[in-house]
Amino acid sequence: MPKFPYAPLVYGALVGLVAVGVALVLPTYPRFVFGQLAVLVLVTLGVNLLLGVAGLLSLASPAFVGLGANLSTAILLRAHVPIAISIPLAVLAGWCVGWLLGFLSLRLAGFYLAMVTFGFLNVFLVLLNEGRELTGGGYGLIVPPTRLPFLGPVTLQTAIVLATFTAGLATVLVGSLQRSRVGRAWLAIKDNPVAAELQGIDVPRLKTLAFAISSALATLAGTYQALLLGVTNPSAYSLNVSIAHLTYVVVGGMAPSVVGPIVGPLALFVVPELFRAIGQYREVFYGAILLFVLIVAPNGIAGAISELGRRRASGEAKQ
Amino acid sequence: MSLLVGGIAIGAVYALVAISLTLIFRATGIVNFAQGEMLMVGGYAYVILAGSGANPAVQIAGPIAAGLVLGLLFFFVTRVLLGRAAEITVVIGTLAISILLQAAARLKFTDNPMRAVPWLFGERDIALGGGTTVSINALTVVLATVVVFAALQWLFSRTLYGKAMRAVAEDARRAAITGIPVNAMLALSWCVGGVVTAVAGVLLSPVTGVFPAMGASVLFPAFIAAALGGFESVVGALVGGLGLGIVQTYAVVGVGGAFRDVVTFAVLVAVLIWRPQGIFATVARRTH
Repeated sequence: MPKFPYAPLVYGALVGLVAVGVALVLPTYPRFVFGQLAVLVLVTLGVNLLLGVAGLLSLASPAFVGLGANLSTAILLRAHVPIAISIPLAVLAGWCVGWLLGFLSLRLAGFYLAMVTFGFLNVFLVLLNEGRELTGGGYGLIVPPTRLPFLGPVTLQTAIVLATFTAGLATVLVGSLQRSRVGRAWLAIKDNPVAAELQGIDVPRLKTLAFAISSALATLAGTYQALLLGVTNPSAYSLNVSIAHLTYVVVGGMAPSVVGPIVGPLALFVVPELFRAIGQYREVFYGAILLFVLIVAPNGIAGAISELGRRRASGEAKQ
Repeated sequence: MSLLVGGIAIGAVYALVAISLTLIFRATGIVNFAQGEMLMVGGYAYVILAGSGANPAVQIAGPIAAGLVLGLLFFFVTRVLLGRAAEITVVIGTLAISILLQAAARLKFTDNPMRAVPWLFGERDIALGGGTTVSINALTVVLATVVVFAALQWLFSRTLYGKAMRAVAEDARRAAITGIPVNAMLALSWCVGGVVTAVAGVLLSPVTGVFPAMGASVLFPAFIAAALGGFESVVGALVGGLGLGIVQTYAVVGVGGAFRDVVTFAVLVAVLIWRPQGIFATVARRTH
């Protein structure tokens, strides 16, 4: 029985508070972008857990973001409960659906897994567009005004605070998960599934667990996204968004790290957003960056920098 | 009857793309997530040439040339630039090319579909016995698929180049020892795949119009058709594509057009659970 991780929780809460502090000193528009960054960091942490740590390529991440946004909003609209109930419910659903998707894909790896998750995303988009009042069809839903106990009405400010705090906390927790027995087992599976199995690692259980955690993170991010934007947008969960998520992970470096999932969205979302530089060229930009990084620096930006450092260090050692 | 012919026609497009996916996978071990964009480029090449009133031979030669060029481009990116990368990295690379081509098409041509008239015969219906009519385009699609399939069979079983490509697909190292230029054969395999897919684009254009995402919507059914053949059997991909087209067409009538993708996904999950190595596969699926 592993010890309950008090230390990461405390560190995580501290990092979360620092993130909230940063958010609060920023002016209005950058603060909003910072909130969106927090949402993307949550998603990217999850995608990197699958791709960078467990070596599983899933294209379904936008489906879970969409699930979180739509489900939490639908619960708010129908049950009139505070978000303290709607968000955990949505995340629980995301966990279960993610587990199921992982279970369905157990026998698959590589491109077969990418295909099945791509199909899952297609099905989700169909259900989203055909869900009538439940999902708002092609128009999406408008998030109703809600309250939180002790904090009062949920404003944009509250949503940003929640998202940034959660992102900080999740970063530390995911980091400690990656260094734990479970994280090392995932790495062993990524390296060689057969060898991992022979070492006594329960490969199916760990694969489904990776899917469940990754999906729950994306769902959580989706619930915050709905609060931040005030609406759910059914056209925001396409394959292009999966590719954007993959780009964040690849640029950050497909490796067990929590710096990568922050650097990726920071470099590719925040910087262009603040300069309003790309607009209609966004997709071309992501495609080009993704291809470029895959070819030139397959270990991501962070990997490339550390490799450069290593080369320089070894060069000095020779002299 | 016309429903069945329509199903076969759309299935034939799936089959052509699935055959290309299978040929490329067999030769290179790469599953190309940008295959749909090859189809889209073929469609644009055709609609632009047809719109400018070029003669029918040029209208069909243009897309074929576009398929050839794209095949070479993909060979260059996946073999030369990403040659030593892991399988997953190459898959992500093809996804990157897919979004690049699609976004470029969107910037140049916008999302509005460009209307295309069917190649050679125009938009006409012909009467079959018993009062049913079939659009002549559907028949053209089926006929073209038969021709392409026969040509591929001839290429791979009778010609030296086809046999060399098969040898490279079987075992690149041993093929190299016997003096087969492996890289040239891989490039040729990409080109054959590109040309077949571009032809599929020409055939699909009059049905759906030409728009940036036209290929993306064909990709998933084509994947499933290829999976039915275990990414190994060209006959399997053909039968799988045709069967899927028919199933989808009847499913659209049964449960409504929007749920087509749900039916397709159900077929995929059923196939992967029932026979993950594919229904028509003769060789065990590569284990990863």
